[in-house]
Amino acid sequence: MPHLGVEDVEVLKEEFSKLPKPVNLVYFTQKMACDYCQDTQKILEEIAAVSDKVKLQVYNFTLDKEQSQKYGIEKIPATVVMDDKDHGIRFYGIPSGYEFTSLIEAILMVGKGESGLTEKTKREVKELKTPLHFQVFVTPT
Amino acid sequence: MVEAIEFPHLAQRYMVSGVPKTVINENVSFVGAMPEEMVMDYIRQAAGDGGK
Repeated sequence: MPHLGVEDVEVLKEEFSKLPKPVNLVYFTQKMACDYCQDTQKILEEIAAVSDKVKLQVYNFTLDKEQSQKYGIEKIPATVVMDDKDHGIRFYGIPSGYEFTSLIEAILMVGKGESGLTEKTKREVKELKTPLHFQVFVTPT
Repeated sequence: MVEAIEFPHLAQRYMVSGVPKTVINENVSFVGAMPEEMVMDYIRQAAGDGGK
């Protein structure tokens, strides 16, 4: 059963068509011992099928060790949202329910190259010297 | 973004009882949506750059 409804697809098609830059979804998965990996992949496949602007690359977490290390992936399902540059955006776990919206927003932000933050915040973030790691814990409902 | 139910060891480690819970580095966290300015305060705090 498709995760995206007909209306979802229409809305996404419209939004993705306006993106100035293509977006890459780099997905890490494996067949065994991962309850949500298959469903996550299906959701990503459906998103990528909407538009040429969004491309999906799938890697096996254990077999494609080099790629897992390159992107610093230590748990799965893991989805990297990037353009030609890795901005450090990762989704760990299934992007369903409310998190589907978060994933779409991340795709649009990367494709537009615009975070939507105020100029003041951007300036302040630029001045930071310490590397920061953000983990936002969510539940899918 | 970390789905708490799929990664219970992390949810436990960072004592996630409400969502969304944001953890910055290992030392700063907050629960719920925050205005941008307040998030910046937490960021400065995590960076050891003043803040509150």
